[in-house]
Amino acid sequence: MDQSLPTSDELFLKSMYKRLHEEPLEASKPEDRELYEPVYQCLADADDPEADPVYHLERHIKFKDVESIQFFSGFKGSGKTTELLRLKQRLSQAGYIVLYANALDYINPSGILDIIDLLLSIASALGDKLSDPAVLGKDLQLPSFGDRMENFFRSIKVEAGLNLPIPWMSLKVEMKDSPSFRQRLQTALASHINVLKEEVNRFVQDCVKAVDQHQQAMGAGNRSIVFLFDSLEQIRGGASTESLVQESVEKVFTNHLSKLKFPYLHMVYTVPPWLKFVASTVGSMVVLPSVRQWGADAARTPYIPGQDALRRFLQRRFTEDGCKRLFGSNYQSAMQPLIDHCGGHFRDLLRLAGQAMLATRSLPIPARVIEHAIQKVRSDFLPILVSDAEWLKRIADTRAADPRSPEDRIRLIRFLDGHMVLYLRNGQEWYDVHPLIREEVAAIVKRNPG
Amino acid sequence: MPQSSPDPEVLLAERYGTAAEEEWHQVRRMLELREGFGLLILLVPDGDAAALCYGALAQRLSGQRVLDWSMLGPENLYELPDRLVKLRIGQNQGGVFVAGAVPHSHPEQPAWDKAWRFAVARLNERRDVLRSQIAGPVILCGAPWLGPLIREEAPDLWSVRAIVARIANEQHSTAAGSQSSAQASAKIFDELVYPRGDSIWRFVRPSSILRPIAVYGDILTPAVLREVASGLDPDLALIKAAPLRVDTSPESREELAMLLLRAAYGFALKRDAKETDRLASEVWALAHNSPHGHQLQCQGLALKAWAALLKKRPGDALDNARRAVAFDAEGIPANAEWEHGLRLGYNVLWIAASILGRTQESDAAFKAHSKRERSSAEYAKVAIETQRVAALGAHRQGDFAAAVRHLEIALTLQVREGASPQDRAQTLGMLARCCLDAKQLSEAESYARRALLLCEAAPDTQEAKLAHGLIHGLLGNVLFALYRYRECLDHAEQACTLLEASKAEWPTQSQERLEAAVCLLVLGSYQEAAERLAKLMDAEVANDTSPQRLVTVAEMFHSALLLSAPPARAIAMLTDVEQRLAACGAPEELRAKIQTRLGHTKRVGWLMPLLRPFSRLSGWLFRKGIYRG
Repeated sequence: MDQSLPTSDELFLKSMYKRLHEEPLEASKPEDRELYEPVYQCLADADDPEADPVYHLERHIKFKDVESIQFFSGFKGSGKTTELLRLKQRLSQAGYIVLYANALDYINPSGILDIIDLLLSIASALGDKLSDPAVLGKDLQLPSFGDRMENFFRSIKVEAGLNLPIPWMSLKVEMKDSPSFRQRLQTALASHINVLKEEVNRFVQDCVKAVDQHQQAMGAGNRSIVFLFDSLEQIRGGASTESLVQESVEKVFTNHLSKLKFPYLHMVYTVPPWLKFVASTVGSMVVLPSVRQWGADAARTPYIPGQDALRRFLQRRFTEDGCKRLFGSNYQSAMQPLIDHCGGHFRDLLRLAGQAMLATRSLPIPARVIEHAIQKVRSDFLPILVSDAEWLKRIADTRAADPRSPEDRIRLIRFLDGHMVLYLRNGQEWYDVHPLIREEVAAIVKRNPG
Repeated sequence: MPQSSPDPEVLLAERYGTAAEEEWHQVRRMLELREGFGLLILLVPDGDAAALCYGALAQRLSGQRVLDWSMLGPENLYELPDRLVKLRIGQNQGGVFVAGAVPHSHPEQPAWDKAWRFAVARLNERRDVLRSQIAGPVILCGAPWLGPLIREEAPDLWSVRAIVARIANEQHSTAAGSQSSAQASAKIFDELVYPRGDSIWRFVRPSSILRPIAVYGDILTPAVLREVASGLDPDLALIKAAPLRVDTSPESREELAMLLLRAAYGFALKRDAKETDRLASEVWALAHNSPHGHQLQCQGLALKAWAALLKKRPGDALDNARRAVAFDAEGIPANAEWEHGLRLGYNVLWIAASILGRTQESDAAFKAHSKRERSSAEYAKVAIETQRVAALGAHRQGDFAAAVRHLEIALTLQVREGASPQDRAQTLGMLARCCLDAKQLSEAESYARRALLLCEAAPDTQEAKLAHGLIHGLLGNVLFALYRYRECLDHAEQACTLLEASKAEWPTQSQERLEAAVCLLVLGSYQEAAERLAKLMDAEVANDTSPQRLVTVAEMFHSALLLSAPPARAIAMLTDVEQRLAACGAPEELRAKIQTRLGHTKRVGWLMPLLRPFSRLSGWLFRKGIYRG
């Protein structure tokens, strides 16, 4: 190892770097609990009751006795999956059977999304997760979705070239990995969607019956099932296909909303945040905003609870002693530039801190290294086209997005996804430009008038 | 005993400066501090920098296996996602280095762009799989344009990046610091070659060539090397060749030569001059006793020529290339391998001869090379620009005849490749310029008129208007030299209109306006000339023109005023100019010119109204060609 730092500092820095840990935190794991800071809960407690997404999702499920459907969304690195896992823990503690599945294990993220894919994937995932011994033990007698589907394909007329029925396992693989097979299957089943939905519903009900019987046999009361279907927001295609894929996702969630509800299941889907702009009929949608650090006024008056929450986030991540060693005894003000430039995104804040750790040759990290880290992370957002800068400047000045055309909408979505535009909320929704690029945007517009 | 290789990290710092050294420091720290999967995005100027970074990384992770997945061609990137997801790398077992660093100016950049987009989009879908299967660094190394591409095409992958490191040439970095080294090199070349001010030469685009020849000495990798050597592992070929060295049977020698040649091609593609030369020499030595001696010799010599070119020894390159292509003259039909040698030989011969200024030989080699190469739009575009660059270079050195030859080749290529009327007009304009400077006025007029015809078919863009205006101006210059002043005036006026519409630089507009006014003077329209020159004077002052320019216009204006207005007006104008020159601290000789005219006018200006008829007569005689002093 490069020993420009003393050994003890080097080992300390390594341990802190490890704690950057960008993956979702599971509230059920002690090591993850140590790192988790309940930012949204704190903000809700402070003065913004809408801030805690888990509270809303949980409350909706509890208010709906039999079944429900909700949509949960947020931007990259906002903590969606962490909060979803926290929801899982809370509902489990409240007596629900909570299943969690990653949609990308079943659906190809780059392909066009179809209701048929989704129905087959949800049912398949439900069967897989309920069968997991860790959930309800080994004794659960579940019906086989594969058998059901093989029978289903026999009962309908499909093109000979599809060679259905094929073993269910093979079909699952083909659906995920073969775009041509998937397209042919979609075409073949297009006129059988309602029948397919009926089959899936029957399957779900059979699963629920099996679970109830199992619970009774165990001497436990009936428990409702909550199914968290994560990562649908990652279905977006590449830059060259994104509008097609986005259209397909929009179509599924608007035209087929009713088909996404299942009897006796509480469904929570994570969806792309842009869906709220295009599909007002989506219904109950909880979107995680960026952690608000300033007001919507022209002066951007600092919002202290948000600043405090992010400071606590860092303190929890590195521990108080760790913060002192990393940033000095006056660590709160030393860390402040990182907090000021993170745009309220946890991942960006951790990246800024990580960059400072990589660049430093001494501890505590000097102020100039922190400044350099900010510049380096800023350069990841560049270059910015003049037309994009003009657009961003308008958002920064008006705090509104107001897409005027489908192209504008795609641009807004891309900017929100890439954190160049922040989605914020304090009772009302508003937008702003990420602090890392705000000055650059203004400079570009100034250099290129008209 | 083999020399120890220089430390790649030290070389990196030496070659790319302190900013690159700092960036590499952060890469190093990331490797030291991280555990498990880590995505590094490394942005470098070109393949050489990528290779150096790989060396530095492998050294840093010595004892671990860092897979070198340097892409020899964009087609290899399409396989990358499937290869990567099949990898299993445990903790502290190494990582994988994926490189495809092709600068923006590279003719194949669009193909690379498309391939990278495909690869990173597929990797984006498999981000979680990669993280679970590779517990080590994954480095994606490309030119600076790769960064925004990954951000756009693979946002999920981008969001989990550990670090983006930028290695750029410090000496060529601009204030923004975001240009690649190749872009910076091309920019500097543009500044060297690109003429100041608006002239017909501004349409030469040297940055469309990878690295311009004859200025930087770096050259395009010949297409034949890519065809032959993509996918060849030279080290594996050497390993296979090793046991054959001790076997002296003819069959083994033949096989040895084949393997050494394969290794030489591999190193040639990697631009390793030393290894290429060494192996090519060995092949050439083995060829003498081989039944396939000719093709081995031809290829060996061509590879030696290429190695010499890489070592910036064009003389040696020329010699070896000549010997390689001499096998073409023997009348023996060439097989595929032989053809490789000839293609490479002609390619190197063309470039080496160009560098050494041996234009005829270069042209002949280019023609022979072109016959052998498949034509593609990109290849032709590069070839055309190469000729135009060479022409500009020759023009600057005053070798107008050579410049004309290069431009004629460029024009032939443009016609063959169906270039736009605008592009062809630009080349014809350049030809007109060269002929004018070589005093070949009728040829210059012919080229300029052909160019103007094509300008009519060009789109109505600012650039097209600029070219159109410049060509009118050129034709005006030619006609002035041919004493055809009325026609000159027409074209000068058209030039003025077009240059103003295209927002050409002021000095260019000013020159045409002056030329038009001079034509009016010569044609006897003194009053109109004076009015035009008055406006031109005002415009020169408003544009804060140089004192030299101001004096030039003032002298012409003075002449016009003497022939059309009371002397007092000329005196007032000269007095005003004198004061301006004094105020701006103009050199003494310029002020002296104005003072001399002022003095004469004050003394004898009152005679001018009497002498005007004689001036008009002499003007008439001049226009008629009877008297041209």
